[in-house]
Amino acid sequence: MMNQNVVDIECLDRELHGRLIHVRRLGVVVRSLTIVVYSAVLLWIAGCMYTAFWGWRSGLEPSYDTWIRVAVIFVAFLLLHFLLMYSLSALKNKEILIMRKALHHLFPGATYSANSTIPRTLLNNSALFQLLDADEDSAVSTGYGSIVFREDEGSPAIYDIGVSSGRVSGFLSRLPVVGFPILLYRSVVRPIFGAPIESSRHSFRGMFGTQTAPLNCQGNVFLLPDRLEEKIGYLAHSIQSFRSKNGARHMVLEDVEFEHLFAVYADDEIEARKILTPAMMRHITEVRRSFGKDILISFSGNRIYYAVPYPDGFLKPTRKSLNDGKLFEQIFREIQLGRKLLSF
Amino acid sequence: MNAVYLIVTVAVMLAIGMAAWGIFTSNSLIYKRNRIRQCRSGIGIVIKQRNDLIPNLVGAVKAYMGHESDLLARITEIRARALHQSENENMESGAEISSLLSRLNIAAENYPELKADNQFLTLQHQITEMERELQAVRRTYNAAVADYNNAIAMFPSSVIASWGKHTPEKEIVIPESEMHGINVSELFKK
Repeated sequence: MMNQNVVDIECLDRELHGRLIHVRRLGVVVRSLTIVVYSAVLLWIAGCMYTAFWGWRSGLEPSYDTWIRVAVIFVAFLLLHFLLMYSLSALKNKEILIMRKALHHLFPGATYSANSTIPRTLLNNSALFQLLDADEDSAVSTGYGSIVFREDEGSPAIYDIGVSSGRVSGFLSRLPVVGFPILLYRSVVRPIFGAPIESSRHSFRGMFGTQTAPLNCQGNVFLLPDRLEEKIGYLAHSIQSFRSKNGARHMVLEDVEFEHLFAVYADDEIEARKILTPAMMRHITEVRRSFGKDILISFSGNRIYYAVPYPDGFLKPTRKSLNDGKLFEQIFREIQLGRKLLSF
Repeated sequence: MNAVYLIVTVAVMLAIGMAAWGIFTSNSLIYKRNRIRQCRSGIGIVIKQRNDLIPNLVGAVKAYMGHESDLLARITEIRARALHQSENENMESGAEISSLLSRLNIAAENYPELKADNQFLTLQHQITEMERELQAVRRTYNAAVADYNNAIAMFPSSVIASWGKHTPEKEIVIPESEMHGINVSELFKK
């Protein structure tokens, strides 16, 4: 089965190679227009603020010629903006066509949807994004694609989503007049420096997966990337023991390698240990090593949820990380790893 | 005069800080010790719940697995003994029953009629759930013991621990004989 999939992927690569080249060129055009348009927006905002300040200080008003020049610049800006939106729309349509064909080829029994919205209850029940500097009530999600597998396979669903926080979080929210600069940074400055336009306002962009499982977990169990232990070793446990995540307390498990990769928080230690058996911990560790990226996992009720950050997007053929001609093999591998994580 | 005042202030602040730390550490050690007692009690409760299912299980399998009488008799004997044991002895016998029950499940594979019996399947599912809960509580107990023993042994909390007469607790250890692989052929010898 594995050999057949490798051969199929190579055939798929050859079949869609021309379209991928075209899409990448269109991506370069979009990127160039983005830099020009958003830089113009930034200059426009700066210009308006300077003119207002200058007019207030000097008491003078701009002349008729100045207004004509401003109008011409504004019309040019509108034209560029229109070109950008048109190119973006064309790029998105071509990406969707490529992904639909590719995913149908790679996973014949699954259903791909380009514009699906993820049910809000799923995100809320996972409680993962409340832990990523997003306020519970104001986090909203945008769907960029989904793939849902058959019921006899447990109906695992994998989404490409972006999660936004409507407000600034934590300490910054207590400072006055912070919202505007933060919004300016997210919406205008980040796209200039490489962030995809649709992702720049998200606090999380990437893969989100969920499946029903025979768990019956009372309360929540969270597995978060343990970056603190990488930096300060066993002392991380002492610091983490003072923290709680969504009311869940930190706990230490027996598997050393698992503990090195994840910080575990749970409402109930015993419930968490019922789920995180030694075999389960080895399974999760193996999947995490195969992914090679941070994974966030949560167990709640009879569902397992996971999230893997992909700042450039997940179900996108123009992801920056995929320039070595193995795009579809990588997407296939990542989805298979997601399904492996969800199945136990 | 200022220097004396400063020294006295610093000394008082240090004394208050150390007293606060001492109180915090002492309370922390007491909390950890009580956590161990709570887990031990939890193990006892789950063992009792599981042991209460054993007579029904033995009754269900006896009709089919009559010649596994040694195994059934051993389970029944340990269960009867457990009713009058202390908490620590109960934990040890609980581990032994867990081992015997897993051997019984393997032996049951050789009896298709038994595997189709609804009562047996229900009891098996209930006991499996109990065993899952038991392994989770045992692991939580061992984690609580490790946490407490670390706090007692490590400096500087070891100083407070010695004053408070805190002594190390023992973790649950699976007996050596039960850590060996099961000889399946021995299970089916008559």
